[in-house]
Parts: sequence; structure tokens; C-alpha cells
Amino acid sequence: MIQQRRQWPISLGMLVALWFGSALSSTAQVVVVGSGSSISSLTKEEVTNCYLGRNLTVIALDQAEVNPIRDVFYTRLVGKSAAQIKSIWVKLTFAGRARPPQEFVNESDLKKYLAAHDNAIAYIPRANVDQSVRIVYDLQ
Amino acid sequence: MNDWLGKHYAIAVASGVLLCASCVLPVHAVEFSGSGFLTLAAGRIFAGTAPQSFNGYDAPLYVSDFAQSGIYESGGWSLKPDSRIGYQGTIHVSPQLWLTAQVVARGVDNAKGSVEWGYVSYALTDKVTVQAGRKRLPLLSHSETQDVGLSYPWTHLPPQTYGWEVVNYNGINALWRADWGGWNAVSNVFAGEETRRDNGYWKIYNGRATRTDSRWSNMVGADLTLTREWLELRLSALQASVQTTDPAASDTAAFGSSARMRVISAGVRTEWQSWVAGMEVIQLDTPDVGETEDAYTLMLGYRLGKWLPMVTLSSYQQTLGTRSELPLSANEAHTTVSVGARYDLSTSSALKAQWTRWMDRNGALFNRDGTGTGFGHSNLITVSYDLAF
Repeated sequence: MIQQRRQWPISLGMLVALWFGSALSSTAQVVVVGSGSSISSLTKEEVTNCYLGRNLTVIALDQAEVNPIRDVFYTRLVGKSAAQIKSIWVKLTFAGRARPPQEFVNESDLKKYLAAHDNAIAYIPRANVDQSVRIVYDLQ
Repeated sequence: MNDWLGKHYAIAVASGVLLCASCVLPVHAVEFSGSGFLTLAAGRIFAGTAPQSFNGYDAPLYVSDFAQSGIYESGGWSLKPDSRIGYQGTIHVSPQLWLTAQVVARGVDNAKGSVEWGYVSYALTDKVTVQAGRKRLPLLSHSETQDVGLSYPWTHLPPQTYGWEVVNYNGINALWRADWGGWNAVSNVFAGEETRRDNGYWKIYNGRATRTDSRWSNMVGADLTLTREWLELRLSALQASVQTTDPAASDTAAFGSSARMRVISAGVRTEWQSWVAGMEVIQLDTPDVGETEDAYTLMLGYRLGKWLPMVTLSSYQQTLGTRSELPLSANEAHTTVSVGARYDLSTSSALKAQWTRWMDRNGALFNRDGTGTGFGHSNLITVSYDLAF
């Protein structure tokens, strides 16, 4: 019983730390390319043009519609909700003027796509950056 | 059979081009992608001028879509004028080559499906794409997606600026993208023709039981959209030869003499902080028949989270000249004022509600059947559910 009493505060503290860490990592996002990409860095305007169908020379990759980081990304980038972004893409898609960004449910698949495509970009939580990707824009 | 061939000729050509191209291009895994849209809309005229008949319609009436003859008549709720469902499929033969077709079923056609789009696209470079087949005429900002309710804030597009007798063309176009000193530019040039048999647009003017065919030939046009941060500017121009058949003649009536027509339009749209505002103007000038048509739309909205309340003013004015067969005071003119709101239910669906006041300003001799004053003044309530899937 004594041991259990000593462990409770420690476990609670760890949970709180994990929760805060998780919340922070999910909101801190970066735009990345494959480690071998020729894209060195992008401005906010350049990233916006890629994700709003204005620049088709770069392949913009999207997170799944149900992933909450998608809404955070578009709100931070252009101040628009995911619903407003969808309206823009619905207009472009059904007018035959552009194809919407390809969606990825699995982040390892997304990173594989980046590795295979020199001109592709994606947004991921900063905590998920590894050796396979390189940061080209920071959404802080 | 001839009508069927005429309607599907461009799509057949596009398919042929795709087949030929797929034979000479490197083989990739062919992919298919598809998506659709739905608008379920209901509307009712609840007040207006005294009941009357206008060309076989129960007036006062509200024309929500001249092109598809979507008309709210007096007498009760109606689902037909603005409800529709569509599906667009794309076959990706390679990253450079793809074929797209869009089928739409409308309430006004008793859900009979029709092919609105069918074209092949080939990306010459990462900035230039050429397309051939059947497409929408890109006259105004929402012309190409006028069937896709989720792409605009209203329950239906302002009929004064978007109500024209021809909205498609069969032909070719080239899209070009560029960056001009921080301005993102998308330009498009196109050429083609369109023949609409038994055009519902003309039933509104000539009588519900009449039949009129329309033809816009030798179409050449261009549009340019410039975007920078929160500002979007748009210009378009078109010239064509227009013809119609005599509504009093038989079904096989030949087209009458053609008239030159020039169309120009300009638009500006902004989303600055929570404010949403837009303006569009368009002019159709047909000097050979002494007719000029001017229309504009002004819109102002303010985003409150998932809500977008807005007010819209739209107006149409026809001016008849001395070369017109009609008396000068037979001109058509009307204005609508609407107050409405859009609520984003989810990323891919929205609910909308709108009250619109239609005010007739027609010339004294506009009413051609002599039974009333024309469309009449009306108040229309519309609610809609829009979905993209």
C-alpha cells in the first residue's frame, strides 16, 4: 500500500507531461520534403499557392480529412477552416482546373511518397520529423 | 439519332483522342478517381403580385436558373428547380493524360441524367494543359461549377448574372499558369460551338409549350484569373455567332440568320479577415439585332465560425435598339435582393437558407402574351442541403 501511494503522484505527473507533450507536438507543424529533394525552402505564400491549387509544379500532399492536424494546418497557413478549403477544391476539381492534394492516412506511406517524388511536399507534426524528410517551412 | 450524335460528338472525339494518345505514350497503371455532388433544395413563393399566367407558367414566378429553366411558380413548395445530383469520374492514363466525364441529373428534368462534361486533358508542361471535348463556358467565376452548390454561398446562383441560353461548349481550350510579380495567374483560351435542342431557356419567353433550338457557333474566348493573398480578380471575353429557330415553326425548323455577339465580364472577390465580398459584371452585346444585356451582382458577407450570413444585390437590364424587331419598351429588366446564410455542417456539407425579393422592372410592352405584367414581383424562401462526396 505504501509503495502504491508513492507511485500515484509520479504516474499522474507523467500522464500530465505526456498530455501536454502530445498537445504541443500535434499543434507544432512543419512542411517537409524528402531528404533528397531539390526544394531547399519555401515561403508561406509559396506553400499557400501549392495547397490552394495555384502552383501545380509542386505536388502537395494532404493528411486524411478526419485527421485533426489538417484543420490546424489550414487555419495557421491561410486562416481558413477545412470546410472553406474543401469549397475551394470542390470548385477547382469540378471545373477541371486542378486535382486536389492526394490524401494519406498512414504517415509512413506519405514519407515513402516524398522519398520517391522530388517535387512533393507535405505537412506533419514537428515531432514526427526524421532522417527521411527535411523541413522547408515552419508553421510556428 | 442525329441529335444523339450532335450531343455526344465532342465526347466521342475526346475518347478517340485518349485512345490514340494512350497507344503512343508510355504505359502507366491506369487509375480511376471519382467524386460527386448533391443539392437538395426546396423553395416557395409566399408573397408577390396578384396571381396570373405568364407564357403558361403560374406567376408571380421566380426564375432561379434560366439556363436549365429552373422556375419556382406560385402555389406551393417545390423541390425541382434547384435540386440536382452529379458524379464526375476521371481516368488517369498517365500523369500527363486523363479523361473526365460528369453526369448530372436534375429535378427540372425529372432526374433524367445528362452529360454536362466529357473531355480529355493533356499536360504539355507543368504550367500548360490542353483539353478537348465538352465543357462549361467560363463566363463568370462560378459558371463552370454552377451545378455544385457546395462551391458557392447561395442556395442558387444569382439568376441575373448567371442566366444565359447557352452554358456549355464543345471544343478545345488551353490552360496556362504563371506567377506575375507575386500575382498568381491562371489564363484560359477556348474555341468551340454548342447547339441546344428544345432549349428550356426560350420556353420562358416564347411559351411553355413551344420549342426553340439555340446555336452558338464560332465561339472564341478567354478568361484570366489573378490571385494575391486575399484578393481575386477575374476577366473574361467571348465572341460567337448566335442563331435560334422559329418557335412557331415545326420541330424541324431551320436556324435563322446568325448574329454576332460579344460578351465581356469582370469580377473581384475578397476574403479579408472575416469579411467576404464580391462583385461581378457582365455584358452581352448583339448589335446585329439591336440588343445589349447588362447584369451585375454585389455580395457582402461576414464569417462567424461556421456561419456565413450575407446580403446580395443582383440586377439585369436589357436595352433594345432601333435594329431590334421588338418595340423599345419591350425590354426585360429585373432586380433581386437576398438575405441568406450558409452553415458548414461538416468539411463536405452545408445547410443554406435564403430569402429573395424579385422586382420586375420590365418595359411596358415586355409581356408578349398580353395576360399580365411579366414574371411579377415575388418573395422566395429557399433552403438547401449541399454535399460533396
